Amino acid sequence: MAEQTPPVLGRWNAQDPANAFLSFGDLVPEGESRPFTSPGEGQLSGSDGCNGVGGSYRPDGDTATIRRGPSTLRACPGVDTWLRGAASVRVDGDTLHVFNSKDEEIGTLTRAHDA
Amino acid sequence: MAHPTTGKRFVALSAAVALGFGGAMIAGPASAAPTAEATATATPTAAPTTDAPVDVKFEAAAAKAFTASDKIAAIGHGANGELIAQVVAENVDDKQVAEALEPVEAFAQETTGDDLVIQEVGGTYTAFAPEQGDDEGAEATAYSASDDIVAGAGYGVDTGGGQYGLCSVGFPATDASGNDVLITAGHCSDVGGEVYVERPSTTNVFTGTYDTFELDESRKLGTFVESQFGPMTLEDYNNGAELDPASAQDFAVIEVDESAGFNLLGEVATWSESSGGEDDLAADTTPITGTHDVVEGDIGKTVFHSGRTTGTTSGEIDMVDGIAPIGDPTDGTQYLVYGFSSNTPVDSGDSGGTVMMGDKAVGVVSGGAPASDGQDALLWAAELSEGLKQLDGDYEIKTSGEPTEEPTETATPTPTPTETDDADVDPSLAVDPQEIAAERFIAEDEDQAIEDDRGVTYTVTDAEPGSEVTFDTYAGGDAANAGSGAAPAADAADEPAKSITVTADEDGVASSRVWGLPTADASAYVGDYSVVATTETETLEGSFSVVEGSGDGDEGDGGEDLPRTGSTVAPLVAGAAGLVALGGALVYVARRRQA
Repeated sequence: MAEQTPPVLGRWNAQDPANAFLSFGDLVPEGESRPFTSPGEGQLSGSDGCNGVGGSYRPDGDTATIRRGPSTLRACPGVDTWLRGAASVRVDGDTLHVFNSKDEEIGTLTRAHDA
Repeated sequence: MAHPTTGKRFVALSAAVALGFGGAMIAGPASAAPTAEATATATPTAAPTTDAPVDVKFEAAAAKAFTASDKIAAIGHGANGELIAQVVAENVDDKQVAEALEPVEAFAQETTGDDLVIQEVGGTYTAFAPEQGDDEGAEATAYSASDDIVAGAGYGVDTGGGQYGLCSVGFPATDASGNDVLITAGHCSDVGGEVYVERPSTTNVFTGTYDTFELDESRKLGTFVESQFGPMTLEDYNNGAELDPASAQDFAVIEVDESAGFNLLGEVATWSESSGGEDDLAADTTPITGTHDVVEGDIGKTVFHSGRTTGTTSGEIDMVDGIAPIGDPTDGTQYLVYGFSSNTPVDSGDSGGTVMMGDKAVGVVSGGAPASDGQDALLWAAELSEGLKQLDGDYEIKTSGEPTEEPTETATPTPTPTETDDADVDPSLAVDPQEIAAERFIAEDEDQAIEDDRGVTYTVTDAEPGSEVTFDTYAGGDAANAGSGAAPAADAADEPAKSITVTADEDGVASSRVWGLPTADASAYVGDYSVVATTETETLEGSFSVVEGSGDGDEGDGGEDLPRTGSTVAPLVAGAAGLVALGGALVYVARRRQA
């Protein structure tokens, strides 16, 4: 019952850090195989403002759970890298609520609109 | 009348200089360090009773003033016995300053019969050296780094606008001309990045926070002159690009400023209290005796990393010869990096740092993820032996005990793999025969193969005795198209090659034999094959053809059945962590290392 266009699809930008974002890619169709994502999942990419955020996500209605892959490990003093704690998200119109692994809300992102 | 100090710019003056006024002075608390000992006796206390000694009352009054206002630089006596308070010029009219000075004013009246004299000064005293220059991220301190640079040390790279990215040194090394360089991760900076030494005692290892870091900006460590990250991306791969270690890299080279006097050591920092805590990482290290190519036989072995955030931690290798997508720090592009994984805990700032297997250098920290529910910590290390091949320059890592010389063979009682890039003869591969009749290619088993000289023999000579040599055999003439033209593979990934790893004997010879099992008709093996032999320093290509035997007539698709040896190594399967390990089949592109 994979929803082909889950509400979370697309790019969501943070306000702080200004270059932090999450991008939820197309879902892998049933019957196809990809090396890093299973059918029903999509690829996740992004940045917390200091390191890349990557992995895969599985949507469920207006929420999605995130499975993080390895990210680069630079340190950027002065940058609030809150987004690296993202474990799940919930869509609310053009706002994406981001939660950590303890289901605590750690911030919001705003849907990016194509120019 | 006292002469007011002129000038706005306040250069370094210690409390002792203030005594030049000819009397006892007490400097206010040093501005940048509330706990500095610049205040000898000015501890806030209650006002003493009237029958306390005068100097005690003086100190008490002064202490109250300093506590009430941080714009009072010093209070003391002038040459003529008058009481003087030095106040920051721009604050001299502040109400808070006037209130703070009230007890001192009272004391002045009581003891001298005169008013307190206010002296305007440029600023309050600081216990530290003068300004360092504009840098938002680092404190203006007098930190001057030690000359010694070891593997695992922290550094900052200027990313522009006063911002710094912090990473760790992978391996001190030398280039082909003998110049000092540092090997680190490519994603830490692009070419041109300027590098400064980080003060060890200010890192997370000892303070638990990123906020305390300090850099020695008075002496540049070096500049990034080479940097590779990917460049193949996950999207490229999903669009059909062939996986290739050469384009799945995460290495960079920092050219060290020779004139700056740094001394690079082939040693690994332990980040102990007695070394890092004392800003001297070289005081306590573990040795580096060479490099090691991580192979399947290493799964389960312990590795450790050294870096500026988690110091040294260790874990066990769980996947080798793999490719993982690692997100780019700035725009999230998923670059592919060839390497191996372990459950070693790492954290932001450890990037680029040393990864060791005992005293052998095996990789640099490329990516990682913290332990979470149901998942171990993950360290993805970019494999060093592959990285050294792919970097444009010709680099050799420094080893222990030989900080300034070319690394040479170290004498060891057992033939363990050691770094010998200065071998007089490069390893070479012989394939014999290069053309063989199908019926002579078949053998029942290894015994028959040897006895009847069936199959094709690979021989590598002039390898390092005791080192590992891997032979990967591909159906089809072009190694990059392994599996093409063959029956569709069951798995979406490319048809895996068959791979064998053997150990070179004391004469530096490593050999293997491939033959076809009789489960398929001999003619099924007809076709072209290529072989890739990988030694510690070289990647060598060879090929052979199996031709129609005594004419059975059955048309065979040469690629349908790969020759199977008696000790085939099965490739690893995509793991739950989302990583793909392709075993020996990763060595698609074989090229001779540039001499």
